Amino acid sequence: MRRAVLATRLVAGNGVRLRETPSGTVVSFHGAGGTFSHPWLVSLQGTEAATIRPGTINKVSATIKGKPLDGGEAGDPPPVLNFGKPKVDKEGRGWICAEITCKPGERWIVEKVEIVQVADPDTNDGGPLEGLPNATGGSLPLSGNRARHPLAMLRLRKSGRLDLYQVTFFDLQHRVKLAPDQKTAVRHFFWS
Amino acid sequence: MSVPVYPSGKWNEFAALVRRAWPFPGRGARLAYRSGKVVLEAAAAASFAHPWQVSCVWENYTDAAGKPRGEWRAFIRPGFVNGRDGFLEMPEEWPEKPDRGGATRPVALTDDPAPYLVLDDWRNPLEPASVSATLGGDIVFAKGEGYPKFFERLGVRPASPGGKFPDAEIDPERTREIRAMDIVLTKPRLGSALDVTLLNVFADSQTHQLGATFQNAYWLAQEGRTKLAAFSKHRPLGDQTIASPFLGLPMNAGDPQFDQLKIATVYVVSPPEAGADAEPDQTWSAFPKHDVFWNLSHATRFIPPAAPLPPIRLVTGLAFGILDTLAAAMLAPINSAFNEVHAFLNQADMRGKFWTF
Repeated sequence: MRRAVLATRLVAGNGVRLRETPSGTVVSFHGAGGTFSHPWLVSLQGTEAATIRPGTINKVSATIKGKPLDGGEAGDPPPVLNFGKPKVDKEGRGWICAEITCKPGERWIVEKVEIVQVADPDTNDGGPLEGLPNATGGSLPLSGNRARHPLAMLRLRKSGRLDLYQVTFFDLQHRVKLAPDQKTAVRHFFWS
Repeated sequence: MSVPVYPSGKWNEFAALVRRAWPFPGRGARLAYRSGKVVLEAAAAASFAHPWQVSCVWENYTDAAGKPRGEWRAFIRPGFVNGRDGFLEMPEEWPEKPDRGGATRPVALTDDPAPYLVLDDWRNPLEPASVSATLGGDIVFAKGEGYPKFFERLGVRPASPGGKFPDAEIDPERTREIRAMDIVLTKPRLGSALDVTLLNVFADSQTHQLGATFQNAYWLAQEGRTKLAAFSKHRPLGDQTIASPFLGLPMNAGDPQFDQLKIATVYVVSPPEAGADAEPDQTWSAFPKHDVFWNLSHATRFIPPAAPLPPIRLVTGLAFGILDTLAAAMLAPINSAFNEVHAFLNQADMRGKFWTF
């Protein structure tokens, strides 16, 4: 009988944790969920760099310092966004954003998509926001016909740990809302 | 046939071995107890943990008076509106002092430790939605709200069918109770209001002026934060109007300065044979039903102009029938007066839109 009972014992395999208690065995599985490999997926490399899976805005591929996120046609390794000490606001928030540069004119087409790390998506220099965020939604127009869309948020903890929260999961479309003069942008809209 | 005889000590040892091996679901595990077997599934591996995902736990705690208590808590996986994280209101001194009822402060979903919502205002979807009386003196019950079909299979009691009797027919296979609460996201934004001013009053005619004002009091009070809260039942925001002196038409008297979106409904299901007045406790099971699965974008319909909107003036004359003409014109989009007013009203409506993808 002892053999029979022992034969029914649970044994932990890969990714499984068993905790035996007198009244039963608690079965737990490791892993935070199925792998969902999507455009713009940001992965931290330590606390001062990140890699980003390829993504597009209006079918324009994003780059890091001009290099395509998939490494380019030469088959080079994917570029790494080395941001050094993360730029964060007073609560430790920072963002990894897709920064577009538009060609002003009738259609405001997206010319360039560059990945940047900023302390706020809506400030010209990427520094922390002074005051409250934009109250009307959309992305604010930045100097040089730029605008940013958040891909992921960073939270720098007091312990020095850097946590990442993915914001964007799909390739994006972009349109601009122009001022009545039809020359300057007042809001940029992004959607998937 | 010989019957094996076990000394009590050995028997107890075997029993303890069997008990120890009995599986319970831990983190990321889902167990289905079947006759003669237990099926194990890796729950986390089978599903994508999405933004705004709600998970509920029963938590026992000791209150400020030292009394043991318990409550259902909802933890929400961080979600973002315009790339900025959502917040929950938590007690001022949380996590050191989690006592509720006093001052609160906003805590981000991305904070560590994570904040939570207390679910303590359950509605009963089985009960009649309302009760009314007919002219003949009969009492009529409105149909119960009901619940997703999934819960029928779990053996939840049918909802009130409405009519003259409040209760559904008894089904011996369906004796579980169900309760529900909604989790709602509130996004502050600029608001707008219309002012109607009666400029001149003559014997038979009036001159009205319509002006729009933009308000940011709520936005400032919330510091622009998107917040989530649990409500017994979410009721979509209605138009806030007044019967203005302008032709008796409903006007925007000031909107609430926020937009709302239901994120999820949390259902809790009792063990079998629970009474109709049973309260959810640790013996119940929670089932969040999500309405939103992705991060959100939000924008108002327009940006308030840098200069105030120029008010429009309309001269109406009751005696000469111009009022009637204008009122009719409001219903006929071929009239220029209508177009002017319509355009103005559109410019003074700041209600926003949410979108995902």
